[in-house]
Amino acid sequence: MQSDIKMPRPTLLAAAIASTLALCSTSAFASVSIVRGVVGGALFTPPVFADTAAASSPASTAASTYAGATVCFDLNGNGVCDAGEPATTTSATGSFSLISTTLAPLVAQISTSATNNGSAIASRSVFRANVAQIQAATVNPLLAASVNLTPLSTEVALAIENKGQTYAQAVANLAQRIGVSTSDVLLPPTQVTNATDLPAILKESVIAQNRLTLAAKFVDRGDTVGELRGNFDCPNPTAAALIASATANTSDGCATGDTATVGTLAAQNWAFNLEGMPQYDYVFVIIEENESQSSVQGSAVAPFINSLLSSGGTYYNYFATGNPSEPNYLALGGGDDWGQTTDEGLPYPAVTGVRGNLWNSLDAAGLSWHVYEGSLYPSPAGTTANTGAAAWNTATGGLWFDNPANSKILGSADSAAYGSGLRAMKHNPAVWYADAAAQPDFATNSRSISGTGTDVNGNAITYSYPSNTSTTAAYNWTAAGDWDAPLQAYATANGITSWWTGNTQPWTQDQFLADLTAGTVANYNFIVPDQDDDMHNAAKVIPRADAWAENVVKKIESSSIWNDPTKRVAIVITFDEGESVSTSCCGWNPERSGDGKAQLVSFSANGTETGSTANLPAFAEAWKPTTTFTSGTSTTSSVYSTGNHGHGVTLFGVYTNQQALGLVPGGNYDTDYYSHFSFVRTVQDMFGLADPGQPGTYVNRTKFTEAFIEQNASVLPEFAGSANPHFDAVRAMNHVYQFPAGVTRVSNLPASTSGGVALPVSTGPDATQVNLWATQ
Amino acid sequence: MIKKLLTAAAICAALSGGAAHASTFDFTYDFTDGQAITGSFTGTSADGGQSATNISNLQVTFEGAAFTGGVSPTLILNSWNTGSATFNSPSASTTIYANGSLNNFVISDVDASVNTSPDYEFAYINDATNSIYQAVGANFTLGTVDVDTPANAAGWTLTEVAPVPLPAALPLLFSSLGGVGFFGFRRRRTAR
Repeated sequence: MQSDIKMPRPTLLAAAIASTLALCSTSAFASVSIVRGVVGGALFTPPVFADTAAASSPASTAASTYAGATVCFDLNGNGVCDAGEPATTTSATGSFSLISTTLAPLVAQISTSATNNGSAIASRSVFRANVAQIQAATVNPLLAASVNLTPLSTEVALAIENKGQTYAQAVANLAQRIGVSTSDVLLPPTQVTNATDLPAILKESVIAQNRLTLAAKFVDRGDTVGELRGNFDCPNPTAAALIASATANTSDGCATGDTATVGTLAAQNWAFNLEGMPQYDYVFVIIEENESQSSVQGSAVAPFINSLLSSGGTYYNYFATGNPSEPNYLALGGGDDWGQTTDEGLPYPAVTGVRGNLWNSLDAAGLSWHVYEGSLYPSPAGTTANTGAAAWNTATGGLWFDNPANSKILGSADSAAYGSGLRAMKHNPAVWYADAAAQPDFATNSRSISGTGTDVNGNAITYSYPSNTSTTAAYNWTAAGDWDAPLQAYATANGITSWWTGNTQPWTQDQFLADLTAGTVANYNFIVPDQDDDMHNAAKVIPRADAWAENVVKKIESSSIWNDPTKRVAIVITFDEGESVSTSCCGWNPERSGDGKAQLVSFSANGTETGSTANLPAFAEAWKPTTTFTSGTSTTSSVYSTGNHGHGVTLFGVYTNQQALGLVPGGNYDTDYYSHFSFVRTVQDMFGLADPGQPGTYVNRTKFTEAFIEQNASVLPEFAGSANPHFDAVRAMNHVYQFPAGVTRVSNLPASTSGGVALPVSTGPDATQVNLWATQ
Repeated sequence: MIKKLLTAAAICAALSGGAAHASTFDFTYDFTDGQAITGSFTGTSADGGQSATNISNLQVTFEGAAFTGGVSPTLILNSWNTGSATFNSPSASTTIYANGSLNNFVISDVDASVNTSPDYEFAYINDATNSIYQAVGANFTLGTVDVDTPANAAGWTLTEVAPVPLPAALPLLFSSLGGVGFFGFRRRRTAR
């Protein structure tokens, strides 16, 4: 019997043809690859830092090409040009042509024998291009595909490899994130003619080049996954031995895979996630004052701040590092308070001698920073230039017109109404570092902000805690940002211009709103309310500051950068001081009066070392202060005889646009022990400012990781009495550390307080061991 | 009547060796970085040696290495289709011009319309429609390559060396006569 089901003859023929064609296309006629392109990027000339403006100079960036780089088809996909792989060397103009009979990714090995626009290269790096980039550029296999190898092409490759994006998505996302066209984003900067796109591509090139250079170091040193994700115990036998012998509650050890060394591809991915901290584009830090964690967290009169914590993430054991305010702002700016234990910072600057701080580190990496201050005084003279410390506090009013005696520009009636000195110089964490303040960009980085007014779309802001509704009179607030309107009126009436525009634009009391609207906020933005709006002053403190913060956050939330899922944006809200107790963690120096411990090093009034410096090891010499700390009203000669005392736990919350846009979950918490030092280390990680494999690249106390302490315990007297270096160590706020099962954290917030908010007092690892900074 | 005139013209052209005649050509392409393509072919010369069709007997050398021993024992000429941005099937009408900016072809050891894996190739493309301007010399067996983007028209020369001797010109004559016969055949079919 014949089957009822027959395949028509034409169909059989078509199938045969199709299968033959398929064979042809996959094997017999596999295509060759011809590529031509340029290995390009940016030549970054770092700033020159000095304590005086005259000796300082800004950074500069030029489009560049790499001559003498090796370009190859990476047939085995390991990110290395191996023997036998088709390879060539770039010409004097960075160009190359290369062929292969097998389609494969492209790799450019930029060794120290290559040159960048003719300049020597200090440390090698690798640029890459994914196969999809070649395919997208191929019109016909017999014609040359234009494929450029740049830091940005490498970012596209990494996005395809690690984020599951298609080539088209990766290109579109990168272009959108940095604000350039998709047609320009993968061009070598030397070929970008669009005047708007070029600066953005150059900036991103510098950022990515720095990270790719780090990645090559990871490979060359044989770094392990454990090191790169911030588990410092794991890879170092010396450290591991110390943990085993010196501490009872240290079973963190190595996780699966931590001991594996990284190759180029993995190293490059880690370089964009230093210590597990994802790369961020914009960070806004709102700093509050002088309220304990328990008086704000869960408080009914701080509804907005608490909603922020609920939507984002909360750190339950975040420590202030000193008391009073000034040491904490020093720490937030540079990871050390340099022995300062008072608010006697006048005259400025306080810390001299070029040393690490966040501001210089950002400048040196081609990144930007702003300090936005509430109730900033318009300068009557229309200050035109930053001339260093002399301009900051002059009797006639300079850039830093801070002295209340000189600040009554509003007239006696206004001064009587609003008081004087609402803005506090001591709350600016950048001004303390003389080399940062002497940089030419210091004036343009110091800007105004208002906690009143509309969002960027002109919409009125509705506050979570309406004014005048509390039955408690002290919580009725009506005047957040009370100086803004009179100051603006004064500036307008007197034709005052803004120094951050080089006096080319009229003064605005809310440059922050203008920057958000124009997309010109900095990568790192430190936001300082005035002392009526930061919980510092006595009356109506909490709801008023809650409203001010709500106004600022809602402005950010209305901005295009916040609502762009390709951008990584974080808002931090924290306080300078803690619970008014000298408990601490995280790289503190307990060398203070009466504790009986040896002093690390001391200095005479003129900066001469008088302590036991002869025994300091080389690494300590590398970070020790180079001059004495100068205080305006007292002379402090022993830099580390005081300071870094700790001031107990304070509130720290982070809210990201990734959470707000539903890309990652919010509402988690982290009970690990962190501090201002940890936060500064975290900022260095998220902006790629340091190398986790080299402690000395982190600024000041932020290098005091557990491994650093353990490795150097014998020469760090301040840690000699420590029972457990886990709780003394600085670590990035990445939640890598997992508390051993037997350890119970005692939260500083009793569950019975704070409006009945249940706070985690847990034993062992947190239920959700989640990095609160995670991104998509 | 018109067809008779055309037939007469074709016969005259084939026999006279005036406007179009079989000839040998030499060509060179100097890449801007100093590497070079050299070669020769036989074809029908036109416009006083400014162009050639009916091309055969292709010989190409790139950086001193001849394109020999590839997929096809003889090199193949494919023209570029600017409409589809692909290579056309080999055709006697494919033209190589003395004016380099008019060229749109590839010479390789494969039929580039169906096979994209040659051992050798010299592509010379000036495609205004798709904004593709490049010259490519590639020897995949040696790994040597050079690319000019845009193609360097000033580096291209096409030289008519000499008319092809009669024995060599016979195929050309026969093809022209074939054309005459074809027109006659069509005329008769149409008449039926």
